Amino acid sequence: MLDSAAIEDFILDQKKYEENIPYESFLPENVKFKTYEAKLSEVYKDGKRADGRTRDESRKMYIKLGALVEARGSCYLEIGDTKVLCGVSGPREIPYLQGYTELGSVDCVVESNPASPSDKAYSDALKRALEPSFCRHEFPNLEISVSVMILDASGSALAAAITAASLALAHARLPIFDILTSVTVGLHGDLLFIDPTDKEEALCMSYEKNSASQNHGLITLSYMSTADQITHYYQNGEMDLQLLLDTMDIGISRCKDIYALCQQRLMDEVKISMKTVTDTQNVEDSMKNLSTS
Amino acid sequence: MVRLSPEEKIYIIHGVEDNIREDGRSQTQYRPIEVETGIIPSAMGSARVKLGNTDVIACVKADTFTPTWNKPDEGKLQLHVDLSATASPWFEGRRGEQTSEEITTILNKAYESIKLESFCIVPQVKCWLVDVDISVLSCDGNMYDAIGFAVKAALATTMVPKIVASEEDEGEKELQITDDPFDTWTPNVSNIPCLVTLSKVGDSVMVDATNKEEQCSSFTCILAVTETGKILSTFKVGPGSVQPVTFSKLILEASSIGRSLHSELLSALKKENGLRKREIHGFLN
Repeated sequence: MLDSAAIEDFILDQKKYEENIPYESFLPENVKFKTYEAKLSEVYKDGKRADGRTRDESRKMYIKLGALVEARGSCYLEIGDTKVLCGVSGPREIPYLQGYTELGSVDCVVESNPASPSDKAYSDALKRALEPSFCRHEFPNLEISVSVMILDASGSALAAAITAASLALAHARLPIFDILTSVTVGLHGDLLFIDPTDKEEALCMSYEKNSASQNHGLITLSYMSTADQITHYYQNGEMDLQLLLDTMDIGISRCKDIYALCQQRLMDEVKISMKTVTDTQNVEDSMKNLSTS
Repeated sequence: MVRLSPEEKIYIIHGVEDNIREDGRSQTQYRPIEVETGIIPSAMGSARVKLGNTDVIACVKADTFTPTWNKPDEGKLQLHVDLSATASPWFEGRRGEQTSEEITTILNKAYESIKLESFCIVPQVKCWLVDVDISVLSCDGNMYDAIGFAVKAALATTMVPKIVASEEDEGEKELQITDDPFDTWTPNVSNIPCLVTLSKVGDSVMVDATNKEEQCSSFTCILAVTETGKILSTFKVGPGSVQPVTFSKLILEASSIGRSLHSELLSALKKENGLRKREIHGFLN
């Protein structure tokens, strides 16, 4: 370990090269520079990931519809440790609109918890993903606003945000062509991680200089299962052509799995609301019977 | 921007489907591309690209920075886009700023995963920070491809005074700028991708859409393709969706187009470099 004198020397040494010194600079050497093997084994070891999953296994998902009282439709979604809250409101008139727009617009805002900063580009990506699934032609001159709060970004945050937003739209009883499901696939060398955590994402965005396969990167895609349409696609990294196409197929099949889950959850919600309606009707009927008799 | 009537749109869509576009091009044909480098004398490297009526200028300035501890030998490449109000009244004022910001974020994302080990001077001490300022002077569709060309051409012709590290006493390295004006550093551009924009119109796919054709397209995506045909980044712009089958066709096409674009651009730059005395044309056509 370093003693205080050594640290002071180190600071003086670093001052020569000005600029801010990240606190990691003061860590002991063995913590600072991990070998590639150590980094890899931290995430993936003996066919198992850090949380015990195999590579093609998604994390457990939890969906709660109607999590917000004030919003027209809302959804709280958890994928592993990633937690996302989404609310939908509107339609309302587009403010400061000049002229006439045939298609309504979807206004998306993605915020994130300051403790887990997320990407600036998420709002735009969410808008691009939702636009094709929403029946915009039914809302000329109007906009609906979708706001997403990423409470905890532990990997696949954008995918979680897209799925949650689409479920919130469905819960708000707004017309959509199809429920949108989204998945993130990470790639590192020959390893393919479905639904990566944040550590796996970091690994997928780095590459090993000396290894044979330089393929690495992340793919987020959103898909409408019944309509068979990709509504958003974002890939970053470096990938061979064939690999890119194969990964797309895997992502789509995973989207279909999530779709079935979302459908079931929405059916449950409908059943519950139907039950409340019939219950109130029964009460009303019995009240009427009482008053007549 | 000219708004099109439904009839005009149908005319354009049918034209693309029959492989004869409004200006006589086929689906996979680009408009004539003009590239001129070194048009701004005060910049370390610059290029102007004209793609039909789309006009883009890229300027390079290089600086040094101390790399972070976890990436000790990686330089940085930063892009900044400025949409000039001369391109379209739409780009004036606050709205233009917002659009520029959006495009800047998209571009920086697309260029994020380039390997920049060649931008390193001394590992852990100094690396190059290369800023590329792009201004769009006129926009008639396919702005991203023109920007991709301009960035690559400007970087390929950048000349920066070389910095050498000399071994001093106590094992500390001292950095010195050479006195010789001909001893320069030029970035290695073999990793820099070209951007290929593909639009789906009707049932067919086309490259290099003009403004009018962009209005008729139902899906647009941009791919960053390297010289070897690998894909660095893919992203969708604008509203619209696509079937997976069409999308994979689109990716295959983009890769082959990207490779041929690279070879064309490199041979053009080589040819220009070979000219002994070259007059800079600039805006005098």
